[in-house]
Amino acid sequence: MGKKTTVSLGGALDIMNVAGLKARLEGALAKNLSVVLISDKVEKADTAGLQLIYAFIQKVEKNGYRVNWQKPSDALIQASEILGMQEALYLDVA
Amino acid sequence: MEIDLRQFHQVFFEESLEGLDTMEQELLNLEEDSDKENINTIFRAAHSIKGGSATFNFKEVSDFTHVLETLLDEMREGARPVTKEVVDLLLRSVDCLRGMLNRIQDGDSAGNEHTELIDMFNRLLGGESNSSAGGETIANLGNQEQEGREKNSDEMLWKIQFVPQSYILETGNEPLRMFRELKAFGALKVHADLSQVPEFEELNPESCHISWNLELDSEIDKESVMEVFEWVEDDCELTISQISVADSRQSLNKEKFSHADQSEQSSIELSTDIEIEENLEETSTSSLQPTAVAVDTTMVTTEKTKSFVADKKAASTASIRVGIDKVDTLIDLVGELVITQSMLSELGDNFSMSKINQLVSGLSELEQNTRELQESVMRIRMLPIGFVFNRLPRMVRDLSTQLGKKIHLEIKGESTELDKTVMEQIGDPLTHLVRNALDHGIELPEERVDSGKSAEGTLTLNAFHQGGNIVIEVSDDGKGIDPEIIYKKAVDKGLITDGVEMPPEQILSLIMEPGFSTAEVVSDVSGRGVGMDVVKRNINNLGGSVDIESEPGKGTVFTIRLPLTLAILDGQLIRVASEVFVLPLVSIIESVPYSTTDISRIAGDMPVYKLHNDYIPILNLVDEFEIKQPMASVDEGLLAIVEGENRKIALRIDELLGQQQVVIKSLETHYKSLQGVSGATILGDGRVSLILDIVGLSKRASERATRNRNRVA
Repeated sequence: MGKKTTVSLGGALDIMNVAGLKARLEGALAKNLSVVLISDKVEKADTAGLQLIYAFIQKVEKNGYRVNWQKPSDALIQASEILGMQEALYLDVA
Repeated sequence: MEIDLRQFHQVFFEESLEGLDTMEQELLNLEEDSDKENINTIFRAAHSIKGGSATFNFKEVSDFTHVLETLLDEMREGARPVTKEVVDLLLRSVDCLRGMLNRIQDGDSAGNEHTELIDMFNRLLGGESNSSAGGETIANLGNQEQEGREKNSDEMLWKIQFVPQSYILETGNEPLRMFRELKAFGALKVHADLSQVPEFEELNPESCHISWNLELDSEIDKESVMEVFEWVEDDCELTISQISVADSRQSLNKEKFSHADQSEQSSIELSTDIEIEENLEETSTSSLQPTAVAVDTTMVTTEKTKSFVADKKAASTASIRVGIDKVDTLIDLVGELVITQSMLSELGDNFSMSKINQLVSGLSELEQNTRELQESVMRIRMLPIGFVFNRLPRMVRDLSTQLGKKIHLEIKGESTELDKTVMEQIGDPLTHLVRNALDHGIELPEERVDSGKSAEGTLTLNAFHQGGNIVIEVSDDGKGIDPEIIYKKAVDKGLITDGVEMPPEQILSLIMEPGFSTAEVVSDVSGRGVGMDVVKRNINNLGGSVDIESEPGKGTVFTIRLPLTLAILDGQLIRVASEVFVLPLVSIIESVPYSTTDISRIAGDMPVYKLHNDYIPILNLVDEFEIKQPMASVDEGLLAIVEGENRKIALRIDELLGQQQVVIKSLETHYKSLQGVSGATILGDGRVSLILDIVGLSKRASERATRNRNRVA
């Protein structure tokens, strides 16, 4: 297993916080490592938040690395399910 | 910040009353042709009223329309057949809602007329959906519906394609919330199309680049699905279509729901649906008018044969909705006017005689601009006569049922436009003529068959422009009016002397004389006449006329001629001594040179002029208006023969001046009402000129003759 970097998504993966989160994710990308998303505290997720994570996963994979979830919360899983993005975000197997 | 919703009340009332009109028209069509789209249109109108009334907290209205919706929903889904009983109940509900809205608009309570109807709805709905639910309330109807739906929930499947605009998230609209709402209705499958999401670096995280295909397994109606998206209607492409579960399963067996080809296929199907949906929306919002005008509340207060009478005092005429094309034309014309004005003002600054041709051409342009502007402004007040005609099918339907007659109503020329004020005032006379034609003109089916006609009578309403007038014809193929019977009755009534020769059309016009119009005469004669004097008076007051043509056994045609507008008059300027008067051009029959040899005098020293076989009283306007200055020529000048309400008089004048359109100013508003004067206008030279009222002058002449006769006697 190679080295990994972690990003904590905090409590709200939503439009209010996506700008700040994007900056943090950019920081993680720059490290050129696989990423672990710490998401156990996510109580709120919306379209903007999940869309950002999707674009991030795509980019990481394109760079030849992987993204793993760590303890995704129920709120996160439910939101991804309702938005039809569970599979694309790998939350169906998380 | 709290918004004062009262500012939107007027729009709500106008739109709701329009919606009720639409419902009424579609309900009437429903009887003839049970097209599902008709029911959809009715449903949409009811739904809008429900939504609006709930927003403004008019609870009685929203509760009542909710019950209506329940019934309409069943009809729409084919669970309830379209029967006369149901249509009657819905039509009564439309009347009732009109009354409720008018009362609320007046600041009163909605009243309780609707409670009786709600009971009827409950009986109708409860009786069929649950045999034991005799007296159930509206509240548990919802449960009944739900139960009914659960039984066959696998029959319905909604397919929804939702493509939001990229800014949708910034407006606070969250697809997640919408999908949650949908999920509450039943099983929901969601497929997100992520193909348009940009690369991470290029992504604006607050923009939305995802679109969705959804399948909802639920019995809810389409309106409910659409309600979920109602806040984002303008911010997305939305297609909702219904497919059977079997079809869905079949397609799922063939391909996975998320398969790209499937998405493409559905988007092709869906885009077809979009077009249909858009067309439907157009139909529902502007079924009447290419010019997008609104009916005012006077117009929607229809004839009532039932107990739910809309309160007429609420019929305010607060606003008029004008098509944007008319406003654009006005703006263009004002632009032209400004250009001409600046050209003239520049010319004035550096004027020399060498520029005289430029000045003339500039002034002529100014005149043309002004005229066009005037015409365009007048057009703003023009509404299609369909607004009046559309209240008649309902009355024809109700009356024909009541009278046991079969009547086909044909309406032509409903897009013919006329002035709003004229239209407001023509509604009642027109309704009266139609009612008389139904009541007394068109025979019972057996009578018609006996006389070799089809059992179904035809009543035709037609409107068209002719010259500067609008002509409205009300014709029927009924039994017609027999001039001989009219003549005899007129003699009995003392309206005419027996033995006087009269042409048939003049005899027919006697039915519109005040003394003739009594109920018993009407039932005795061929059946015309109740209130016909009122009809004639109203039409005359509008500056119009009504003619009758009839052939016994064949039918009758009433022809109403009205000016297109009441604000402008085609006038003939006349000079009497130093004064200039305006005569309505339509009233002038001819002008003849004045010669004392053609003048006779009858009892009371009334001078009369012999025109063909008629003796026409002569009125000297110098005397009538006490003009101090004598006429220029004592034994010369002209006689203008004019006519109003079938009475002719000859006016002695000095000279006929030009003809021109004059803008009518009310004399009553600025001074007081004068017999013989219908208003005033301002002439080109700034002088005020009186517009003569021929009917009033004629009355003055006959009153003076009577006075003089009495004095002589």
